[in-house]
Amino acid sequence: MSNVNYYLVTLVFFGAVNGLQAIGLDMQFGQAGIFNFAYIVLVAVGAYATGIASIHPAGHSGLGALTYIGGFGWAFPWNMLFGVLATVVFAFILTSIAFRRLRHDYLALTLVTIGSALLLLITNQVNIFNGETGIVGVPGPWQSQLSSSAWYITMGGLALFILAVNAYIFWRIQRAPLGRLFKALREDEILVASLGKNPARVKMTAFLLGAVSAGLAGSLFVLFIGGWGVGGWQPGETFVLFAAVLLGGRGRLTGALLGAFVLYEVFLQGSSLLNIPLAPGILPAVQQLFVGIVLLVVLWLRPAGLLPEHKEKFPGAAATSRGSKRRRIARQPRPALGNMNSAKELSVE
Amino acid sequence: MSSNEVLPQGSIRVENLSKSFGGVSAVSDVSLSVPAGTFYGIIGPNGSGKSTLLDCISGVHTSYGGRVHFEDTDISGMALHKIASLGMLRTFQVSRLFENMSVLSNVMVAAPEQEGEGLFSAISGSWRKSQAGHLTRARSLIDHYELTRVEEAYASELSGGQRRLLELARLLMMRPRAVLLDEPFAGVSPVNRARLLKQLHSFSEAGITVLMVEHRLELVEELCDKVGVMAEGKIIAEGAMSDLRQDRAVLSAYLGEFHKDALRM
Amino acid sequence: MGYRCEPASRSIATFSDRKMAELTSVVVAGLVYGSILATAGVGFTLQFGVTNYFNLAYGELMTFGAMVTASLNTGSVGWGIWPASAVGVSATVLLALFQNRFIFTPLLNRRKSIFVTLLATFAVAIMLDNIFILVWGTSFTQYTYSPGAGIHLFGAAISIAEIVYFLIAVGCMAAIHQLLTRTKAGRSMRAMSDNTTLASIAGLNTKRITAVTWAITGFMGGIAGVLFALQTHTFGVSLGVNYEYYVFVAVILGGIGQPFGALMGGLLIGLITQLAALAIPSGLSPVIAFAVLILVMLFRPQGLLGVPGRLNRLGL
Repeated sequence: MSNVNYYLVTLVFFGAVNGLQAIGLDMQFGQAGIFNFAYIVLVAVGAYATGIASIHPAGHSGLGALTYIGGFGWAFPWNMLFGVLATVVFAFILTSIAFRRLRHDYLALTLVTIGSALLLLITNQVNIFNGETGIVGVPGPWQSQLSSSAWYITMGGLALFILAVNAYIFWRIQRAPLGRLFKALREDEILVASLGKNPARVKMTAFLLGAVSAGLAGSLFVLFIGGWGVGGWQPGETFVLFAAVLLGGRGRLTGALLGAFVLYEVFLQGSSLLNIPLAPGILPAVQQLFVGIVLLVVLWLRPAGLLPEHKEKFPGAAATSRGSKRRRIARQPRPALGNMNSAKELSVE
Repeated sequence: MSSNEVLPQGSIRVENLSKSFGGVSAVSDVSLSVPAGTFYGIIGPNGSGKSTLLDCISGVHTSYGGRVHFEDTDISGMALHKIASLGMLRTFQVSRLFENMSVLSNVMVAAPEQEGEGLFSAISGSWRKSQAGHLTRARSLIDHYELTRVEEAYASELSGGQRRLLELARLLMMRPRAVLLDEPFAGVSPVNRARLLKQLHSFSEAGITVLMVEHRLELVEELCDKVGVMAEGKIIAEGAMSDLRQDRAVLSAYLGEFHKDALRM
Repeated sequence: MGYRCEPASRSIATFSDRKMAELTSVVVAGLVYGSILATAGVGFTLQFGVTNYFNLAYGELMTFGAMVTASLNTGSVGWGIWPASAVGVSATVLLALFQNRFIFTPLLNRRKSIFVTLLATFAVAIMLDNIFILVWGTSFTQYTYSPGAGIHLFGAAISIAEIVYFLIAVGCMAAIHQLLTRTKAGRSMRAMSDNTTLASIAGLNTKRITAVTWAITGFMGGIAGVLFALQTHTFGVSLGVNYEYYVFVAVILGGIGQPFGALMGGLLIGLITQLAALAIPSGLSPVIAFAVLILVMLFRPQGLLGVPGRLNRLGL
């Protein structure tokens, strides 16, 4: 396989992984309105858990002085299953602590803080998580049996397959009454409660579903790269994801996927390919700066994104006789990003 | 009309309810009883604690002194969603709708014990079978409230009166036995007021217990079997509106706001 | 480490003296650190109280103040620390005003959504982080300023500089308290914090009050940034983001939107993390703050001074 082909397969793989993260964040933020500024922490947990499930116990691994929890030496798919499960359990603990009757924006601040706390914790706790070095030497599935090119293609296919299954399940959920409940929660949590639905349960369901995608993405990531380090899980990563979801269209699966594609594959990869002669470390800074500008422009011009959310469709329209009236309504502009708005919120109490 | 299915139960009993915010008392030692199927009104000037009282009864506030009973259940300190799922619902002073959802979706959200709200039935798609029933009911309610024309419009596009009607449709979708209405006529134009009045009459005809906070006396008189007057967090008088109007103590206590209203009538 | 045979009574006396000295120095360090956290926290929470959205780019204001000061204090410019920091803090005020005037307020007016604005502050945070990297690089720097002589208190050596930091921080907060309680601008800010709509109906110039608020948040953030930089000696463009975490914990502990809560939260976090360092390795101080955060979330999600259901009151 030529270098170009390796590159293309790698692009497909990361495209699928980023797509997974985007639909996961969209489930939490786009659908249910949870401003999870610590999303990348969930991905990191999935990656770490898969990593330690795959490698052998410390001291028996030939990996020298690495320190880490676990080391089960499990094969695919058990290591990935463990990674996803660990992410969901972690997310469950997080929600049980942080979702205690907090307003959407308070929750956002709390999650930012928890995200930084975990990053500091991991960086400082060399004796548990091996500090900034993280873990290395995670074997990929079937890596020893396959030729290099076959393995790359397998991983690309595996990532695409997992993305497709995950997206299909999310698609079904978002069309069900549960999906309607997510959007209702995003609009007005107290109102959801006043309809006799437990908002905490709905919120947790959305959060855990998003965590499943995060766990899958992290797991795929570590199995492909073969290592895990804190450097890859900085808050800036969550930021690019938010930009992707908003650019593509929040609350819509294809929107999140499109946004992830445009931002990661076209913009970030494209600008890396341009080969601009810059000092090391400068290009990522310039890229993130531009992503920031993209995000501000989207918020200013089109907060609904490139592919705005659908209005829910029901079978058998009752109002077909009044065509002209309905057309007039259909022409009206869609309201901006959510109803979790200021004007009313500000005057409450 | 589907609201006829509602059984005539839903008594509300409040005993010695008190609530304060950071040391400032908002409601103090309020007791009242709303028998099943009656229409009870609470009047009083702004800041007299009417809305806070409603917030406590409905479970928006969960920490307060005193006890609240709904039918035979002690619901003191119970959360809003639990109380609502028991069959006692509320509306808000500023009409609250899911603005970015269609009128029909707004009503469909409220369908009680809907299949497909759990994760597994949502994925399996088994909810589709029961969907048709909810949809028929939602559409008949929407039709009853003359909202069919705007069924697919976003809730944010409705007029003030339509918003109130949609709130009522959503309320009835849940088959309540008791409802707490917080100033249901706020933001409704005089033209639509008669329409809304008629719909509220049909609540009591259907046997639903109603506890309503409202400051327009003519509407209270028109609707309510019994009226409680609140001032400074207490109920200072109770009775039929026609009797209360004669009550000089009530009038003199509220020369400000009440006097104006009395003149307007 | 060896043991020496000494009379038992004397050994105990020495031990307790040393403990006392250690404790004193830790408490002083905690108070100094806590007062800086409180300064930062008050600036952050005040802006939230008035505008009703968080500024997730607050750490960047702190970095900006510290780095501009560093640029003027070090290298060929070589100004003294005090004139340099005066300019640094002023520049931070300008940056804060600029953000408000050209990004946040126009966006809020256009979209009428505090959540759009919250996302915008997130975008500005990441953009500023990267601009700082482009301008100042990722290497570390330190001010040309020596902490100077020390005094002794219960046997503990305390540097004059630390006392100066403490006094600056306390002075700033006292000034804010005066401003909020004694001046028309302050009363307007409190009114707006209680109810923006009502405040604007009552004829208050909400646009101007917002600008004043941003000037104050820039001022407090800039001062806190310089003080943090002075305290850590060696720092880089990640300074603000590193401390922002402790500031947020302090703010959540005290009750979001409550300036007096931020003051208490800051001092408590300062003391707790310093005292904990006596018992456990200092690398664990993020864990201690994290534990505090978890406890708050579990037992008092509205914070020490927060009133559930009435979240936007200014407590100062």
